Amino acid sequence: MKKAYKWAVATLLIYTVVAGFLLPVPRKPILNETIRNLHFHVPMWFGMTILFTVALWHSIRYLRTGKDYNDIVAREATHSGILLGCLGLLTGSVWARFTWGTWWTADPKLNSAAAAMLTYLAYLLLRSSFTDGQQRARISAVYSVFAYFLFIALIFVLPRLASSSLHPGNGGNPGFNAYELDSQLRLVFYPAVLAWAGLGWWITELQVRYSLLKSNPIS
Amino acid sequence: MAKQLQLLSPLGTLWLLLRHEVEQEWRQKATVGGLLLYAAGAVFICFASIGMQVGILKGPIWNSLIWIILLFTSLTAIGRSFGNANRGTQLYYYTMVPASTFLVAKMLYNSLMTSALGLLSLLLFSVMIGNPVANHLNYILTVILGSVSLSGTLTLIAGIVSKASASSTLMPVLSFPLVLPQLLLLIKLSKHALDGLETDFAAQGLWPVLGLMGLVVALSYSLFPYIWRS
Repeated sequence: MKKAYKWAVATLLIYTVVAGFLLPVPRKPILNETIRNLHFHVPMWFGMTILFTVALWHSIRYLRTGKDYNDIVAREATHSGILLGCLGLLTGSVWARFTWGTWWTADPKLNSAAAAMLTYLAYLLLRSSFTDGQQRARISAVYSVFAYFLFIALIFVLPRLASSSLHPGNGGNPGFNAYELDSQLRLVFYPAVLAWAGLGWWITELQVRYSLLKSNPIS
Repeated sequence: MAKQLQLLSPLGTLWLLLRHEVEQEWRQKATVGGLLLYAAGAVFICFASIGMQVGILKGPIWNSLIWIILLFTSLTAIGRSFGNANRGTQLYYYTMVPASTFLVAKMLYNSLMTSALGLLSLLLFSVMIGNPVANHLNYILTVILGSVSLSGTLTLIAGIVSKASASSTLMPVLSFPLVLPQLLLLIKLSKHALDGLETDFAAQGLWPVLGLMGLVVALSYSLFPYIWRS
């Protein structure tokens, strides 16, 4: 069963890369071939949000039960969430270079994304500034829950309140699902979400198992 | 105080804690004076760095500068709010008062203090740098609302930081990204008051600010007991 999901994720990833680059896409002015970034940038951020939600869940579980396992999963899910977030920033930045003509610009959505990454980088800093393990786990779990909701406000609420934005789907711009490309793009987009989120979870799971082995070699 | 605490209702406990906090602060006048000087110094630095000219800062820059001063003053004021009681006193509170009541008392006190500091900064700012605000009442209300809602976030973070070592850098690092949504909404709200084009306070983005404040207070209220326990 465990192996099956890894095979599925690997297959989906290969499919995402191959089909994402090779299948025909709608021809749009300015966007041209960069529309293919929909299969990389957007699902990576979806995956990041899913992993941060996993971290939230395990942080709450930790506060309820106090089991080390929950703390480790919360930490590792945050790590892989940050990894996917960085990849999302990179792919977004490259995309912006070829559609907007600049690597980075003062846009509400982009600023929110940067602040969201800072929020979770601060989590790492917070974790490293404790000497007592239990204290670290509990206080970090509190911060993680607190940060998650403000992260949601940053990413999903604030950009929608902004009056203008360059980013697709905000500030009156059409999102990608506004185009009549259901059949073509969605064929790759939905598997891509599963693929990137699955990859994030795969990394998380390996890290968790490694941490458990390190802390308790006998089992 | 022990006997008093046991007999009181939750609201009475809250009032007693709040009064105690104010008394304690009043006894150490150096800290209050320090905060006042901090705000005054920050405004003066701004004044000096724009070349000591009254009235040249206008519009969005004036607005953002004052919010930055408000943010830093609140950070400094609230950052030490869990540090001044010694271990014995903390243990005593822990056994006598429910965590949530303690948090609410701290939040109320911090809101009062940051509102006072915020209004003082606004006054000094107006005197030294000039005041281009069109709708004064709305602007003052926004500053008070901003102080209260920033205190909501910063109080919990101060609680988190008080448990960690190396807290001098941790407080700003944890706070900056987390207060950003609130700060942006507040700047937007206060910009309306600054321009004075619309007089209806509620129509200019008051609800997002209040909503976020409610969220933050509810989260702090449910999370603080876990910080308190350690």
